[in-house]
Amino acid sequence: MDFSEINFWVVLISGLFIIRIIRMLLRDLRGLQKILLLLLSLILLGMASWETLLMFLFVSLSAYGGCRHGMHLNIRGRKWLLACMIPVILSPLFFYKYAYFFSAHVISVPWDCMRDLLIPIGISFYSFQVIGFCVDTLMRREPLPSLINYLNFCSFFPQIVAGPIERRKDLLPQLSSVSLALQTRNLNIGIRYIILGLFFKMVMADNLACAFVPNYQGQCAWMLWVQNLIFAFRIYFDFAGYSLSAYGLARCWGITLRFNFLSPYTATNIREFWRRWHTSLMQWFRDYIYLPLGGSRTKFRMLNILTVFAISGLWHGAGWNFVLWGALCGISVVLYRVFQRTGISLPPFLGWVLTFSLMLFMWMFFYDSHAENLSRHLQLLIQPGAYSLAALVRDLKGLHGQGLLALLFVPLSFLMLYIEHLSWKRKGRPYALFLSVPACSVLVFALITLEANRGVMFIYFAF
Amino acid sequence: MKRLLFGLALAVIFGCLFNVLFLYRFAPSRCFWRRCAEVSDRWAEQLRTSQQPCYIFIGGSETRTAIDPAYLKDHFSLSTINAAEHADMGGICHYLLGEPYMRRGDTVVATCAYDFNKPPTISGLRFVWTRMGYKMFREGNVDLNYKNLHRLLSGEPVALAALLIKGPLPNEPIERYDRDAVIHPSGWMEVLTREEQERPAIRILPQETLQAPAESFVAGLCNAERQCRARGCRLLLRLQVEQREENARVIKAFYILHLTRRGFRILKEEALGCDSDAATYADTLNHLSAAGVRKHNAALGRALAQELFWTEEELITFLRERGWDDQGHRAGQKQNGGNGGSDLRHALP
Repeated sequence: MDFSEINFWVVLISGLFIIRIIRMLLRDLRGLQKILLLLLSLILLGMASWETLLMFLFVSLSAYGGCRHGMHLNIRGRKWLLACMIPVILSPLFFYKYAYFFSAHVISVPWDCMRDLLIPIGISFYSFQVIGFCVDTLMRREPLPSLINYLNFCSFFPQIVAGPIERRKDLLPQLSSVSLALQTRNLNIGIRYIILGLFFKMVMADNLACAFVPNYQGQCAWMLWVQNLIFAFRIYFDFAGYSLSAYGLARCWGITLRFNFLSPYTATNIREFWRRWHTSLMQWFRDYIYLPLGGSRTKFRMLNILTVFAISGLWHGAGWNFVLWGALCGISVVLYRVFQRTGISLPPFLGWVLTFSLMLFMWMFFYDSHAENLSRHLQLLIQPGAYSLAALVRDLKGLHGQGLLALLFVPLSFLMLYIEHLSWKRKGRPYALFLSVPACSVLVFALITLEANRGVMFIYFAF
Repeated sequence: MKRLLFGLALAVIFGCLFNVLFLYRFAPSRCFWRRCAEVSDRWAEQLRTSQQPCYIFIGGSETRTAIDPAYLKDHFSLSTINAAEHADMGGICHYLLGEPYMRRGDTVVATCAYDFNKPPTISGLRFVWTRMGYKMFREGNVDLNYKNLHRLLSGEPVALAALLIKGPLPNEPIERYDRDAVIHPSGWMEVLTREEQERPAIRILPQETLQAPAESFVAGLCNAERQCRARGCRLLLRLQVEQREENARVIKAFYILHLTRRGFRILKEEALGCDSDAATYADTLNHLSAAGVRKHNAALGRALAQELFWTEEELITFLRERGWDDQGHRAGQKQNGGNGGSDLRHALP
């Protein structure tokens, strides 16, 4: 369900056209709207592969069956049921994503048949969304919705593949009363977000992806920082682009999803960064792992933070570098909390520089999956002799072809950040300034003239 | 909503206009290769006054740098046109770029490196559009569909970045061949830089094997030959010259043996496209220097003038003399696969 692919829009518009015809024929669609929405979502999901659709149905239906059974149990029974259901829900995720990693790197018995398994898209996201649903329903005693409403909640096509991971209290009521009639007011807002999302993805992220050299072999530490900068912006624009497109699509039908990104790179401290980056996942971890572990009310709160971030790292990918990345992020948050207790407050600009630089450094652990590369890059960063401006100028002058995209799109990325910062300051919302008619027109012009034309997949589809 | 839609519509219109203007008028790389093509056009116009049949060379930049029509004219009285452009166009485009020059009785000489079934790349499609326009859909082998239309109209951020960043810089060409190459009036592109001159010739890597051409590749050649015949032309093949050790010639010999058996005629040059002398090359492993062009064109001209082609017997003898049979096996050793696949560990001197 790649919003930047023409196939998605062809199927979506065809589906809406068919729905429109059905509306004209039947006039009263109240009973059918939810079924039609569900069919549309399942068809769009099934476009990826049969396996993707089957895995989704297995996860969602087994969870629903469990919740239905749990309605008759007492609280203790529900806890035991949940303890059994969660492994079942996570089993496909474990099988497709972690089986080879577990076999090769944990128990050292490589199951080579598991190595190149294609992960069904969206499994990391909807599995967590379904677990959240089960916990809220069984432990917080929320009523069980009808099967149709539940399946629509799980499969809602704008957000099923790459989030945001929604909660039943936010999305379910909206979907229970959804109308498939497109209203001008909703379209007016939704289209603007879709344009912004596609610009972030197809112009910014994809061009930065072309400029990125994952296995930098040079001897200039500044250039390595430039590569980190390119990746940092790439992953942000890619994922934020998807989330904004999802938000806009949902908004076309009057459904309000949560903002997954709140301009995280304008944060002035690391804690604020993680409150703005992939907010739905971080809040999920907070509510379903951190708080049950005791949260801040226990003496193990720092350990809880580290645990949550390490798991978050593992969620992103089956590799020790992801766990290490997560752990480093956790350590940085812990250190910030300790620093906060000193009462010292940094000027906002200095705070921003430190936070941004720290994230640039930590992204290296995210994209460098080979220990040798990572080790070489770390050594390069700590060599004072590698910080030669002459070497940087020489390397920049030697850029040609796709390398030149870095010189255009990195400054453009900073410009985007600045506009996000101004949006916060003037409008209290991170993307407000991008949504005016002149801004949207400029974004569309940029989409047509600067589209990378390379068909780079959304990066979070791999998770 | 109306304001939004109006704004978006304007943006789409201006965006497309900007792309058409930039892609087909100002894109630096396209401008350079278009100049090459225009020089070849003028040369072809001169040649056609004599009514003599021409040899039309098609291919990528290695052909553009390797064939000097003026040399072939002066030394062998051969009328040749260099219709090659840059690589990475898609074999279909390389053929289409030669078509405007073809007349009944001409000979098309293609390099054994281009798959004529390969569909156009984005840059190939755009370049062919500048030369043929809508005719490429009507008469060429290019599908008129949404995908190709999108490729014709969508942006080229790399070229735009090059123009914006290098344009204002003094003494910094946007397209490197503007500084590093000279286009002679015959259409030969002489590359002036020789950064790789000290690099030793590439040796055969142990895991390299004798490989027959893929069926799809042969099908592409058959297709090209059919199209040439339909225009009253014949198709010949040549091997591109690469900086390889001489013992890599067995790879080439085995490869063209299969083409010869399928009825294709490959111009006979003793070097079989492998020349380890670094002085033969300019900036890459297959762009020839001026000295390399003279050497190669002398051999090529002789082959063309005397109609010398590799025969099956000659190639089998060549392989046998080097310890290989015509199935790609070391002589005296039967190995898996009848179509080659033996490794060349023992071929290293």
